[in-house]
Amino acid sequence: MNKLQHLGLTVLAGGCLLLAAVNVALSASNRSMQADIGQRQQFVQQSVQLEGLYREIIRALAELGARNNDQDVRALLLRHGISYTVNPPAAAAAPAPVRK
Amino acid sequence: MNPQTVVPMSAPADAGSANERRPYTSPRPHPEHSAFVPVLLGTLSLLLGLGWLGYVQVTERDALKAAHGGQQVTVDSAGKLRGSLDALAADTQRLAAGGNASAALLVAELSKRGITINPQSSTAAALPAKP
Repeated sequence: MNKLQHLGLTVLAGGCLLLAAVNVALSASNRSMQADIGQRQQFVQQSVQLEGLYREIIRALAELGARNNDQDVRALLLRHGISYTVNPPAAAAAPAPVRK
Repeated sequence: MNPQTVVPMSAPADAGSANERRPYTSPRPHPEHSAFVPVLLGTLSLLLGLGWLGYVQVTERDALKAAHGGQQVTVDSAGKLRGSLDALAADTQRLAAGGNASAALLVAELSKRGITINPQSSTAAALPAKP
């Protein structure tokens, strides 16, 4: 093996080492990103379940507020951007659909 | 007739004896094999394999980045929803604590379902960090 061949092989081997290091770093980064994405997905799925609870609370508060003519509850809902109107008793007993 | 001494050609007792008498010649030298070609091939193979693996990793990283970016709007909406829910629940709890019958009834119903309201709760801690 002459000097030029030795130099060429050394450069190639150095390239291999560099690529191996880059691959290890990329693999670790990808694993971390996958875990982050999974965590965010779980957060979104839990929030979907909480959305139902949120709607139920709003509906219950509106119904209770309308039934008892509770101004505190009405004000509370208004602070959160939710208003409701009460239909005349002859038309319907239940309050109109809640709109946000 | 010319008298000549004829030596009978008898088979030698040991065949190797004739060879032993030959002058010693060193074995034919083998052509010199350099390690360059095999090492070069191995290194090139390794380089190719690692390069391909790196390409796959970069492609996967791009896909993950796209997925992460695509989640952002949904995650933001979910965070807002949680914030609204927490604020509404906390306000309801405070109203119930202040003696409001409607709010107290709602809090009691939620408690029956196993949902307890913490007025000091904050959704900020539950939100995943933005990139």
